[in-house]
Amino acid sequence: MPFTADAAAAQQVQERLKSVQQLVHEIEKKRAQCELGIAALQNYTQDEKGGHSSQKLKSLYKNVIAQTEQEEDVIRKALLKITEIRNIKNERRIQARIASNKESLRKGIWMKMLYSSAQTLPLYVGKIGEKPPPLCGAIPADPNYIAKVGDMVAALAKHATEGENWILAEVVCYNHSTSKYEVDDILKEQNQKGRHTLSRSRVIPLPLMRANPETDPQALFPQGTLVMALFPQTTCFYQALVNKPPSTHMDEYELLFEDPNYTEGYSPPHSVVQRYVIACKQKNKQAGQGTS
Amino acid sequence: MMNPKRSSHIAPKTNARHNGKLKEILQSVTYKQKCEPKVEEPDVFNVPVIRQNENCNLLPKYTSVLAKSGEDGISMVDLDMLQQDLEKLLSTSAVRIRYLLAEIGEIDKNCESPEKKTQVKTTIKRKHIDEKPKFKDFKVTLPKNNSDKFWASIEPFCASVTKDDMSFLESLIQEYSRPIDCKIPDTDEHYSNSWSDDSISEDSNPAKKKNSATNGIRKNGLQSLVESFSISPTQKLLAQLLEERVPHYPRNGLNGIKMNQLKDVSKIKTTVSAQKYGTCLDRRLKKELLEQGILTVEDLTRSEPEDEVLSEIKKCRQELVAVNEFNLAELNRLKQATLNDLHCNELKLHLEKLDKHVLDLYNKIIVTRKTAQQEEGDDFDKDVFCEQMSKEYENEVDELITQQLELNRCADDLFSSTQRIY
Repeated sequence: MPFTADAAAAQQVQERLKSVQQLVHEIEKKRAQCELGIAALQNYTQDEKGGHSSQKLKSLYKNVIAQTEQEEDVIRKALLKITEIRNIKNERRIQARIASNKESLRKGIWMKMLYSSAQTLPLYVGKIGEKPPPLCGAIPADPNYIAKVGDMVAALAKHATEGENWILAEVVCYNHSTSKYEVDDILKEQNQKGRHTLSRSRVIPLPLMRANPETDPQALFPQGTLVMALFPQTTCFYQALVNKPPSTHMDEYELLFEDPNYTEGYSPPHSVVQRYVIACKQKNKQAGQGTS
Repeated sequence: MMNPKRSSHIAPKTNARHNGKLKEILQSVTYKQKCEPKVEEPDVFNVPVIRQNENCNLLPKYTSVLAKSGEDGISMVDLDMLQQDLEKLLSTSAVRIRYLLAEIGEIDKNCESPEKKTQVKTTIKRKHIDEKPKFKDFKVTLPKNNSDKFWASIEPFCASVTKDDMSFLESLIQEYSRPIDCKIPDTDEHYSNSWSDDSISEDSNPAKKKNSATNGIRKNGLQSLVESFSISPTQKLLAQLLEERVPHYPRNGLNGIKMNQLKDVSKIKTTVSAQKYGTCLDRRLKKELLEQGILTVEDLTRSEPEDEVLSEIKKCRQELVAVNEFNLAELNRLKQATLNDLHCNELKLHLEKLDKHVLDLYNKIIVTRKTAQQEEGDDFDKDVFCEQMSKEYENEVDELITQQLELNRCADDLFSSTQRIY
């Protein structure tokens, strides 16, 4: 078999998979240590109820913290390897796309892929005193940030028949001289009339990381916020109100979409993953109203 | 708001897209964590942790990966689930750290009041101990008065040169350059000489008695006289003369008596004034020898003994002259240097004045500019005014600055010349 880029990528992936496995075993060891530390802490408080010294207790606490930090370190390493694997895969996918190897996937499969890619977006778990970076959860990108090739974006695209819509798209390239993006609709069949060339204001990069509600709730849209979100089973963004933010790292937003078909003006709650919920631009509202 | 495009994408909406089990698991974890803050007292039994014996239930993919041997490895299919499990572990450990830190904070709060008291006490004690030696050290190392004295003592050496210093120097130089007028008087006649002179004058007014007496001395007490002569060459000469002539003296009766008489006289006289006769004879002899041309003046002076005292005095005087010369030269150099310094001081004063002038001018320019800008009127006029003003001032400033430069150069030259002097 010739040594192709694909083969090289496959090898890289295999190497990382192996190291992930090793790391999993290491994590297990660290966890055992942590449990011992916690057990020691529990025993101490049980033995000397009422009369335990705060110094001793503190040192036991600190011991567990140190052990937990070690455990956390190894887990982060393992997750980093998994992210690397995903990046390698994504790179290959982009390359294939450039080479116009048509991915003839059915829409249903596409939807599944979109969902799983959103679910496996790296989770950001902040360390003590660390601020969540841009494009983590609800944190917007820097004003002069430019989305990379292959990144998912929300793009305000014109449609001959349907007017303007915020669609889910993928960045093909960015022209620095004109400050315009070229984006592809995520659904291939929508691209028959060619790519969309859009100015930066019409492109919103999607989060690159999920925020962990347990450690970084400030990086989530709180209840009652007006947002833009991908309506389930579609590739279009619509305005919605946050009914309930996620409470765990695997949890999703509970959103009420604006829908005049309902008497309250809002749809019943729908679940949307973090990746497809973005801040709402005031302009967009007018644009949306214009098209309706 | 619903538009046709969306409906084209819409598939049957299902809320139960999740794996039911997973949600349960997640909820169980969150329930546990949410309960924690409600528990009172530092509770070590609710530390957020996924125990290893819960692996099967809570971390299915993680457990299966653990069970796999090294050869089998992980497949891509496992990756998504494994990631979720790892994220769960990561989140739990991150929450655990936060929980434990909060607990430690709680312990610190509880123990704060008693600990604080003890801390305050100890700090007070320490202060007392620390301060005393510090104070002592301060006293020893930095005596205030001494430093003042020191600077006062230094001050006159650092002060700039004044005209008084100059006049003092000049007076010094005058004093030193005066010729040293301590003339050494010529050696006066030795007292013995004056006596011999007397005796010679006596000789020239011959009285018979005396004459005979002296003759008698010459003839009879010759030996003792010869011995009494101070100068050795004269002694030799006389001795030789005596040897030659004495045998020829006729030893008659008269002479013999006289000789005896003389002997007695000489006995008295030699003891008292042998010296007198000696030097007298010396001089007479010299005189005679010179007259007869046997000895020249040069020979006589050569044979004269050196005057040790005079030579010593001369030597000292030479030394003194040399030292004086050196001092004078130094004083002159110093004078030159002080002259330079005085000039330098003058230049400095001038420079200071100029500096002041420049500053004044600068302030003036600023003020005029401001007022010009504040004044209402046509912009064009304002600009012209500004330009004119600034041109005038510029000329003035240029002049001042060139003066400054010139003065600076002079000062530098002087300074370097003073350095060259030393």
